[in-house]
Amino acid sequence: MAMTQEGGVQYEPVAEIGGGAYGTVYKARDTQSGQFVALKSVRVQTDQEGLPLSTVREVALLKRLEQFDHPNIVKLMDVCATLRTDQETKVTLVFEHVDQDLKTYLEKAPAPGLPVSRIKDLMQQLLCGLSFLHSNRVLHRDLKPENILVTSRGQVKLADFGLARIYSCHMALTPVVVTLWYRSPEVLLQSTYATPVDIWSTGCIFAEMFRRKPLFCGESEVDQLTKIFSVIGLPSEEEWPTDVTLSRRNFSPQSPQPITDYVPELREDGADLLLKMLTFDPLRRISALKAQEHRFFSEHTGNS
Amino acid sequence: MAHVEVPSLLERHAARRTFPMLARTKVCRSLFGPVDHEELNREMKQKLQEISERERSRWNFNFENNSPLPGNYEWEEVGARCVPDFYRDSGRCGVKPRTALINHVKVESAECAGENAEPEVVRPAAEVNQENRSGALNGTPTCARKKRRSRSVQESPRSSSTQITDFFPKRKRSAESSSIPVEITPRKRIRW
Repeated sequence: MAMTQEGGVQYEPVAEIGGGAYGTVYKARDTQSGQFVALKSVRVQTDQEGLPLSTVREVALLKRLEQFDHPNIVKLMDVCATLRTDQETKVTLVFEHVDQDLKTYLEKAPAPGLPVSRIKDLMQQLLCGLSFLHSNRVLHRDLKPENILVTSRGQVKLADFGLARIYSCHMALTPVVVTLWYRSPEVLLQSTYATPVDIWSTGCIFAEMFRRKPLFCGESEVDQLTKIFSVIGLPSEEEWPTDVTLSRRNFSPQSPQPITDYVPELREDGADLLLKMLTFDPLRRISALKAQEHRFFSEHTGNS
Repeated sequence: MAHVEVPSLLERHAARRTFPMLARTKVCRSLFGPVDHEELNREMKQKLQEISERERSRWNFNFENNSPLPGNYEWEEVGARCVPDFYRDSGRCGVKPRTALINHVKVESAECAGENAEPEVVRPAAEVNQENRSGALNGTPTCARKKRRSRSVQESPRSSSTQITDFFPKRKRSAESSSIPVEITPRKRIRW
């Protein structure tokens, strides 16, 4: 395009150089506000009709959510599209920059692990962000410690939701296998699903906050389900979804194990909340809103 | 012309659609006299340039060639490992996605071939997932559940042949599927 003539002829396009496994990220500090931003680019294939409408719609949705300025959602400051070729448009998303994600945060936590009060706070914020998304009819669908950002002040910010349509080609291309560890049984079984999938993931993350290692580390869909059933028990035939190809008979009968065997740090109220999140039937699984009201959060830190 | 405030993506999309549509239809109603394509093209390019310019000066960053410019924002290029995974570029969408995707599907199928009688099923589920975001927009899980089921039933015939009934629900459901038939075919192929 015409723009290139003025600005950066002396620069090489970084995307081409850094197209390898690691690459680089552009990050900036606003010298006036001190705020940090970071760029994330997605290259979208276009035809003569321009950008796929799904991408346009997804961006519009993200922009609409942005107007609420929710404290537990990562800020999307701008979306800039540049035509690269006739077949490709680069969409650059300008996000607020947060230094670390929950994964790093948990890794850095000193030996005995996070104090329960800290876990409560993190969980409350996580659920608050999730309630917001769900009440705006947005599913996260890929909630995991890597896309939950934690600011230096301990503020939780959900990231990477609503981008599925934009990234879909990227996700399929990533050499790294997309993690199954936080996936709900209905997703693993390829059944229909809705907001409860995020609650399942939140449950797994809740357990991980105590354990500082993931709860279910499956290597395939079936392995993941097997690991899940070894803890929550094999669901009854009535509970098994009817619209799936994978039969219940593929799994050996299991009775539910005490959840405290896996998360010994849990007290009664925490265990109750966790089990409500890790309920097999998505319709009976606790909602984000209800989880926020759970007694786990109302009791004093001292006795939990 | 006056739509300066319209998000750049939408504007670009609308602008780029004008020409192919005219080219395809043989009979056009000329409501506003003949179209000066040259002029329209020029104006569109100018508008796009204005938008890029605005974005560029807002962030003092040249988004076209990824280069920082002097200004309020102090830009630095950091290794992707120094920032949370989330910020890493999803930059490979444009590179032969079809072949690459097919490869991926193969890998995935192979992975669960031992356990799953129908490894192919892996992909449709992902597809359902892709769309479920908007499907789930309609309230309770119960209703989403029913919806999804009817949708996937409709989807399978659509990919192979077009039935007359497809047009009505399709049009109702989303502008995307009805207005861009071109997009559907490659997408189908990609996901499977």
